[in-house]
Amino acid sequence: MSGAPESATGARFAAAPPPSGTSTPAPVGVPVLTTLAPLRLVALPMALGLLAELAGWILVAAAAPLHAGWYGWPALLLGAHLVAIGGLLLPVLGAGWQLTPVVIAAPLPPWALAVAGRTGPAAALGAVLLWAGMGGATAVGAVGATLLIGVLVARSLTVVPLLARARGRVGIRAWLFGAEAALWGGLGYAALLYAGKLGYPVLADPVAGIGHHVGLLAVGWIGGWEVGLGALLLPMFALGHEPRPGPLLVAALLWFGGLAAAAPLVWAAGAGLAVGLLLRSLFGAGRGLATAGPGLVQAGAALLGLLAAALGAALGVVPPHALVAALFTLWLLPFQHGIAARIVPFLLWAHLLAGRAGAPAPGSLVDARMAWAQAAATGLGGLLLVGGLATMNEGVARAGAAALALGSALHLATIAGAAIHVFWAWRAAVALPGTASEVP
Amino acid sequence: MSWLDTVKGLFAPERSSSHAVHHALGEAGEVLRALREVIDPETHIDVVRMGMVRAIVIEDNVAHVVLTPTTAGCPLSAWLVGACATAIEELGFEADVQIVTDPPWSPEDMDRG
Repeated sequence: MSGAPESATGARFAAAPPPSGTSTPAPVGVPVLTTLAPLRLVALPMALGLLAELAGWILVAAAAPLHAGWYGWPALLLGAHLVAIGGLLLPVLGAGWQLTPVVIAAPLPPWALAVAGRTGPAAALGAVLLWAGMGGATAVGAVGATLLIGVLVARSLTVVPLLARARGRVGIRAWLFGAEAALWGGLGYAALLYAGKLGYPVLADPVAGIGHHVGLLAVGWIGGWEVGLGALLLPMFALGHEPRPGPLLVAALLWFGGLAAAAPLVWAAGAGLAVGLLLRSLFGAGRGLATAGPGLVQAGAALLGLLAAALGAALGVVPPHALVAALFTLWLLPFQHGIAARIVPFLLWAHLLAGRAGAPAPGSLVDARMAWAQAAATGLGGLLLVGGLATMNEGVARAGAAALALGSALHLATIAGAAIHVFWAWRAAVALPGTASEVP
Repeated sequence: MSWLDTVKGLFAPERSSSHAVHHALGEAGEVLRALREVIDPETHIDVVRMGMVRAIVIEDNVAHVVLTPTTAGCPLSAWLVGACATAIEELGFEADVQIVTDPPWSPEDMDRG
């Protein structure tokens, strides 16, 4: 009626250019299943991780001497593992349970939910015991390391079959498969290193073993998940194009092939291609830099940090401990901070405020000034730490660690502030009768 | 499809045309106007301007609407379906809101006018 096009069946319709040449669109959709995972799967690892990261940077800032390297001094070893496990591993573990369903476009099946529900508390306990062990209680540390390795193995055995059964997103899934393979390699080296510490030396060159352990776990596993999920999340938040699967696949082959063969040039080529693809997704379309907000800008800056670290690795001009620091503080950590500043408020909103009348928008839950200050402190801290380590300038490196501690404190405050904001909004909404909408 | 076609597909450029409905007349237009009141919480842009609406069919007082979220597996898909259904039902139609994810949403679907 009234000018609406008529189909052969008499239906009145409006449709975009018909995808299959027919005049009437066929409204046959996929089942609407929620891919929201239980909040506790993300919240526990994230909360412990935030506290541990802050404690780690305070410890590093207070430890001496930084320029001697990361591995030989107990306080530095503990600080580095507080940051690596708390700031990187635990958030990836928790976020992975929420983002795997998004990647595979299906909810976690009950058996996977059962595994996921147990990994959070077990990982938290394992991490605390491992840190205690690095503080002096070696036997406790061994129990913690074993528990943590068990959690990561159980998680990997759960996630990999889910990714394998999914369809589509070939490039993103290639990055996640590669990351899981790197996890197994990194855990293997961790076990061999711990055996040596317990009096059963297996590795002929433990220092090289430490390098492989750090490289496979940090760059391979955590980095692989960051790039893979970045290819999903950055275009989603920036309203850009998801990277084409072919180039993403090539980047993954170079990245993980370079890591496996210990060929920095090959890895750096993969890193360069990945950075190019992600930056194009982030700033090439959609809303652009002006409306990106602190989280996306920080993630974009972290990609430039990855590019700089890759160049340093390829050219061999950066001392190894400065390169490790660069990978951690200029790429992995700020990228995670930036993404967390976007995704945590969104998840809290989706769980507690979606459909509630008068609920604030997800974007308003984050204190933007605090998020910008966090990004600045973390970025400055990373530059100072890497610069101080590269030039053997103890004062500059220590100032960098202090700035990173400030960045961690601001990150904690940003996330906690969003959580408190959501909690009060939720309380206000449920206190008013009839304010909840009818939507699911 | 041969393996070569599969490989070519992996490297194919992004599509440059829109698959979204931005204008409609009659009852479909009324539904579209109602859907403009459904705001995507993440972007603060309504689902029509976002280009999420792929089709509207009115038949026997049932409004069939096809939505494509910006990401397949979007955690807010169920919420969007519910919010769109509520907006349609307030017009007096029965609502049948469905999700399709192929072809996926693209920035070209957005109404930048």
